[in-house]
Parts: sequence; C-alpha cells; structure tokens
Amino acid sequence: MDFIWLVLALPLLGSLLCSTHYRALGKAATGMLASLAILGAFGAAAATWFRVHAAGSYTSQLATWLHIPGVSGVDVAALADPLSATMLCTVTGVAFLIHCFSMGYMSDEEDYGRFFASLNLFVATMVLLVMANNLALLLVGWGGVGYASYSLIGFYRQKPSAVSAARKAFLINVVGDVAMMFAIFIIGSRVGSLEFTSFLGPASLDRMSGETILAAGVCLMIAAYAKSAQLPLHTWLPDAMEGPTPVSALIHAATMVTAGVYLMVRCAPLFGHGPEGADLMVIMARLGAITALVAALCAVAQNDLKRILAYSTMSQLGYMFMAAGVGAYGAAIFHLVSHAFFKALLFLTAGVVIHALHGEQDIRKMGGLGKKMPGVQLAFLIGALALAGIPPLVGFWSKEAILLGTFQDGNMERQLLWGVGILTALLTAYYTGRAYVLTFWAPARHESELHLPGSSMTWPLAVLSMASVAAGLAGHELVSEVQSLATHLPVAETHETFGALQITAILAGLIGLGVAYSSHKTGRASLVPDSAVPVLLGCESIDSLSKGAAGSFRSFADMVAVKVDPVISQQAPDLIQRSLYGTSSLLCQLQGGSLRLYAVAVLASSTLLALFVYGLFSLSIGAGQ
Amino acid sequence: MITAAKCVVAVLALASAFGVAFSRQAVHSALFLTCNLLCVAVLYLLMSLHFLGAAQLLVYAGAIMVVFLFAVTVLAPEDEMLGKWNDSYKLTGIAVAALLGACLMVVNSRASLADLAAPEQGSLKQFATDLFGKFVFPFEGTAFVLLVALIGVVLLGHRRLRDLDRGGPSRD
Amino acid sequence: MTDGMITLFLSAALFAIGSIGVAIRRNPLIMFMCIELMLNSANLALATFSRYYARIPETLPDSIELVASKDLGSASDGSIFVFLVMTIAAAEAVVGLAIIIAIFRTRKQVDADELAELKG
Repeated sequence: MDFIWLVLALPLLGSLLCSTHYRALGKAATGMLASLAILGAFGAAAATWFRVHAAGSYTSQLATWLHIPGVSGVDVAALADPLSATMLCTVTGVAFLIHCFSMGYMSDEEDYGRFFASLNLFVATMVLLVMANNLALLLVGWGGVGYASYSLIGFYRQKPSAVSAARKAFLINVVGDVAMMFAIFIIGSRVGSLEFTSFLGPASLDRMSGETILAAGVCLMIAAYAKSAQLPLHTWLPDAMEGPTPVSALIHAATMVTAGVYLMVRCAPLFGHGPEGADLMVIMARLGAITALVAALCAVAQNDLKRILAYSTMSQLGYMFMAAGVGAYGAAIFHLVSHAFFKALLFLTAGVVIHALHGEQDIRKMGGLGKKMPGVQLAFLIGALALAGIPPLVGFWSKEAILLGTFQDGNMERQLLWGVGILTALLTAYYTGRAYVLTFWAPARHESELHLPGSSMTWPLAVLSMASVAAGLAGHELVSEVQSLATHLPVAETHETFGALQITAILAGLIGLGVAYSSHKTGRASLVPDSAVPVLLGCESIDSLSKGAAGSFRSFADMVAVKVDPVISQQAPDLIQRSLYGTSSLLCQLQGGSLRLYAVAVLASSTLLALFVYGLFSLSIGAGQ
Repeated sequence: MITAAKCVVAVLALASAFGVAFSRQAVHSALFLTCNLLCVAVLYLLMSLHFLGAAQLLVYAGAIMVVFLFAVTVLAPEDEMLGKWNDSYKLTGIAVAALLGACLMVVNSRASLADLAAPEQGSLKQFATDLFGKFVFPFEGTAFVLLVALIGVVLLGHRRLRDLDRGGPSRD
Repeated sequence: MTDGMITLFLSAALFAIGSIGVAIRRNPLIMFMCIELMLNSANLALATFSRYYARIPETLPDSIELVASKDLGSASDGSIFVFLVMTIAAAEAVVGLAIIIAIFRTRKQVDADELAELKG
C-alpha cells in the first residue's frame, strides 16, 4: 500500500471541507477536522519514512501530466527517498502541532474556516513541493505555498499593513517562481528531462555544458533565495509577521522558508558538478554566512518579539545555506529539522505571550510573565537555549554539525566562514537571551489582566519542548544518524580539533546569554545605543533601497502625470488634427480641379512609366546579353 | 543636300514650337503652330513620304488650323501674363517635361536607324491597296469616329442641350 | 547622325516643348495647341521609325518574341498608321475646340486655372 499520496490528499480534502462546510461544522469541528487531516497525513508520512528506510527509495507515479515533445518526466509522480520522507515527517508533524495550537489561538476569530482552509491548503502544497519527483510538479507546490503564504499573511484583511505585507511577500515569491520557471526551461530544453533522478544523474550532468549548469544553478538559487528570505530577497519575511502567530510559526519559521534549503539539497549534484557548480557553492556559502550575520545584527536591534524571531529565522536559514554551500548537506537538513521544531516552539510561545497580553508585541512593554506563566516560561527557555546552541538541546547539535562541516584546516575561507558562524552564534545567544529576559524576568511594565492560554494551546508547546530536549539528549549519535538518513550524500568528517571547536561554540553561546542576562535583568530595554541602531538595521536598508527605487519611479510617474501627460494629451490630438488637416488640404490641392496640375500629373506618371519600361528593357537586354 | 535641308527645317520647326508654347497672344501661337505643322509636312516630304506630307498639309495645316484660328477669333482671349515664375505648377511642369524630354532623347539615341531604300515610285499604289485592303476596318473605324465627332460638335454647338428638344437653338 | 536621327530628336524636342506649354499656359486654346504639337511630334516619330527602321530583333533579348517575326509588315504600314492618327487628331481637335467654345459661352472667360469645377 502506497501511503505517500495520502500525505497530499488528506490536507487537500481537509482544506476543501473547511472552506465549503465551515458553517455547517461550526468552529470546534472545523478545527478538529483540519487537525485530524494533518494528523492522518503525518501518519502516512511516518509510514512512508519507515518504508523508505526499510525498502529504499521509490517513485510512485500517478499520471503523466504533460506530454511535451523532447521533455520527459513532467508527471504527477512522487519521489520517496530519505530526504523527502524526512521533510514530509517534519512538515506534517510540526503542522499538526500548530493546527492544534491554532484551535485555541484563533478561537476568537470570525474567519475560522478560512484560516483552517488556508492552513490545510498550505500543508498540501508544501507536501506537494517536497514529494514532487520533477521540477515542474515542484513548481506547482512552490507557487502554491507562495499563494497560501500570501492568503495567510493577509489574513487580517482589514489591516492595511497586513495586506501590503502579503502583497510584498507574494511579489518577492513570484520573483523566485519566475526564476524557477527559467531553471525549468533551461533544464528541460538542454537535458530533456525534468525528473530529479534523471537530470541530476551523472550521465546527464556530464552532457550539460558549463554555461547550462551555471545558468540553471543561478536560476535555482534565485528561486531558493526568494523563498527562503536570503539576502538580498529577504525583505518580505519580517513584514510577514503581520499574519497570525501560528502562521508565522508554521510557514515563516518551520516549513515554507526552508523550501529553499530543501531545493538546494535536492539539486546538490547539479551544484557539485564541475567548476561552475563549485563556484556557485562558494557564492552560496558566502551569502549564507553574510545573511546569518546581518540578520542576527538586525535581530539585536529589534523590539518586536515576532520580528526578533523572524530575523533569527533568516539568520538560521543563512546557516543552512552556508552548510549547503560548503557541501554539508546532511548538516543543513538536520538543522532544518531541528530548527523547525525549536523555532515553532519559540513562535508558539511568543504567540501565547502575545495572546496573553492582548496583542502586545513590544518586548519593552512586557516583563514579569515568568511568575504568572511558569510553563510557558519553561517552554520559551528551552526554545531559546536550543536557538542559542546550549549543549543538552537539539539546537546545539545541529548548529555544531554545520560549524564542524564548515571548518577545514588550512583553508582560510572556510575558517573565516566558521568565524562568522561563531560570531553569529554569539549574537544569536544574546538576542534570544534578551527577548527571554525582557519578556519573563524583567519587572512588569503592563497592567492589564492576562489572557491565560487554554490547554489546546499549551500541550503542543509541551510536545515541542519535549521533542527538543529528548532529541538533544539523544546527543551526538543522533547527529550522524539523521545526517546519513536525511541524504545519501557523504557526511562531513569530524575533525581532530573537534573538542576545541565545540567548546568555542558553547562559550560563545554562554557569553551571549550571560551578557543578555546581566544587562537586561533590570528591564533595561536595549544594550545598543540609539545611534547604532541604524547600523545594525543594515539589512533593512535594502527595504528602504527598494522603497527609494519605487519612490523614484513614483515621482517619475508623478512628474509624467503633471508635466508630460497634459502636454501630450493636449498636444497630441492637436498634432493629429493638424497633421490630418495638412494631409487633407494637400490631397485637396491634388484634387483641386486645376487642369494644369492634372496635366503635370499625367506627364509625370507617363514619364515614370516610360522610365520604368525603359529600365526594364535595358535590364532584360543586359541579362539577355 | 537632303540632310542639310532637314536640319534647316528642323531648326525652323523647333523655333516655331517655342513660339507656340511661349507666345503671349493666342493668334501668334496659332500662326506659329501653322508654321510648325508646315515644317513637319516638309520633313515628311524630305523623307519621301509623299502621301503623309500631303495629308499633313491638308488635314493639319488646312483643316485643323482653320478651326483653331476660328476659335481664337471667336474667343478673343486677353493677353496672358507669363511673368510669374513662382507658380509651383509651372516649375513642376517644366521640370517634369524636361525630364520626359531627356528620357525620350536617351531612348531615341539608342535606336539603331538605317537609311532604308526610299519607297518606290509605286508606293502610293501600294499604300492605297493596303489602306483599303489590309487596313479597311481601321479605316472605316476612323470614319465612324469622325462621324461621332461631327454629331458631338453639333450637339455642343447648341446653346443648351434642352434647346434641341424645343426644336432649335435659342437666341438669347 | 543619320537622317532619321534628326527627325527623331526633333520629335522628342517637340514633345517636350509641347508638354511644357501644357504645363505652364493658362489659356486653354494655347494648351490645346500644345497638345496638337505633342500629337504631331508623336506622328513624326512614328513616321521616322516606319521609314528608317533597322532590324529590331538584334536588340531584343531572347525572352521577347515577335509575334510575326517573319513578316515585319510592308513599308506603307507606318504611313497608314500615321494617316489614321491624323484623322483621329482632327476629330479630337474639333471636339476639343467645340468644348472650349461651349465653356467660354457659359462662363465668359477662358482661364484654365478658373475652370476648377472638376474637383467635385
């Protein structure tokens, strides 16, 4: 029995039912239905995972989608291999917990049905993205998650900021979609197959010229960068926090934004092939490191709890791209999975806090929540420690896997990347610690009654916390196991300086946390002087850059509208009228009844005719001779 | 001898043609035209085309010119001013005509002419035989055209067409 | 320059002068005379060719075939054509003059530039 299609079918069915039968079902039943659909999908995904690990990878073809002459593999077909099975389990598992959380979080909302329909649709499209066995089908899921993300960011459609954030996210995602389409065109026309197992095979990669690999690789990278909010296409992610918090947790932390990493790992043979592919990997690693550092700096200067988490997501994605760029694919996927869990945990906890404070998101106005919500505090602490990379927790192992994969003796660039990673880890520890301390330990700066969470909101937190702790306790054995399970690719070897590197990383995390605790326990809002904030927000300057570009276009348009358009709209009809008048008066003169003009016209035309005939004759005589 | 005569007559014909085109008074033009037609008739004779020369004299210089002179006397048009050369029609017309003339000159200069033997003495007989034998239908056709022209001129000569219905020209 | 060329060039010159006259004169009578001049020059050329024609096929390419290449006609054919043209020219002159007189009688003036009713 092939379970893999159930992973897709159940969320689709759930989405359909939620959108059509919401009124008949009522709120509770809708939420239950959606969650159950995801639970079923998770079960099917787990079954697929076990089957893959017992019996090896397989492809399940449902139908041929398009018959394109010269291009094969455009099918409705699922590829079940360790990578996709791992991703499917992660996506459906996290999605299930977040669905359960949403049932409590969104209980006050009017558009309950729309929310769950969109959420289920998102899971379905994400599953389609992950399990597609060819680029064309992957693009369907790729665009689908973009749409689902759009509809969920703009869920509060009465809020203009949410709507514009949704539009922005959609537009930047479309940039990625277009790049992906170009990649499909290039690969389809040059290789003749869009199937991963086919065009990523060594035979067809050898056939591809260097330029083709370069072009396809660049297009795929642009697609991945747009989807994963990497520099310079990152500006939509912080704004996407306008959506409901569970959405931020599911889409903009745990699953959708990791699709770019998934794509990079999936297409790893392409990047690993030839000098051009290697160049792209160097670029990928550097950009990943830069994104990680810049996003961490940005997060330090933020005061909005959700934006801090958004920037930290960007930063962690930067780590994953860095890992993919240095060839540590297993580490990238491992970090992806562990990040999905602890970042979802952090976001959900943040959601509880925001829910409790009636929508307050500014950490300077929080504080003192630790005593009132000890369970939530513990969950956040676990998530924060995992993010900061403190040993017993899973985040430490995955981050260590990336840093170890990056470090290489005697390679200056790799060591530099590792250094950036350590610096980022320090900053990460600081800003997570700051958020935690200001939210839970600092003196309270709010008066209103707390809106305490119900059990449907707390138990997913517990599950995620336990998953983070348990996976962390499983320790180092898990690392190599997951890495090798996640991909067939070789795992980076461990180094002889393993101990020293590890200790450095731990120390960086501890220093960051220590600084955060010592400077913020009294409720001091920021360690950073106000004058330095713009420097730290450097990566937001791209936003203002694009705003400036758009502004210049707008002012140009205004100028055109005010100065040029009236001229054109007044002069152009005038000009047309005048030219028509002139032409007609000229023609009138021709038809003016003047006998002499007629005579001249007859003469002229007969002259022309004579010349023509004469020329024709002399030509043909010349040809005849 | 004949060539020299031809040259002289041709120069005369050219001069009179200029006279036709550029005389101020219509009467002068008509007289120059007569001169021109006579010159052409002489040229026909010099080319040993005797019948054509005679016909030219009779038809053109005789009949047509009489009609022209009659028309000129009837109309008595005023002198025409030729001074205004800024008329664009005039300039265009002259340019086009010059172009046409040049074109004709060039085409003509490519013709290879040879002096064939002059028609024999009995050529008029041959001419008449052909005209009433081989070309009798075109000949009759021209006769018909002349008849139509005659009727047309009679019609035009009346003041108004509707006068015909009344049975004759009106006197006003 | 043979004998034939004299009349041939004369006919071209007469034609050009006649066309200049048609173009620049405003008196329809004189325009008409110029037309007669042109007709006459065409007649002259025709007569010259009929009198002095050389063997044409030498100058013609292969693609052009004379319908009756064997029978190029007798020497009097050209003269007959000229004669017929003269006849038609006589008819044309008479009709044209009749028209001009008719116009003059209705409009009391003769100026080609004023006769612009044809513009419709």
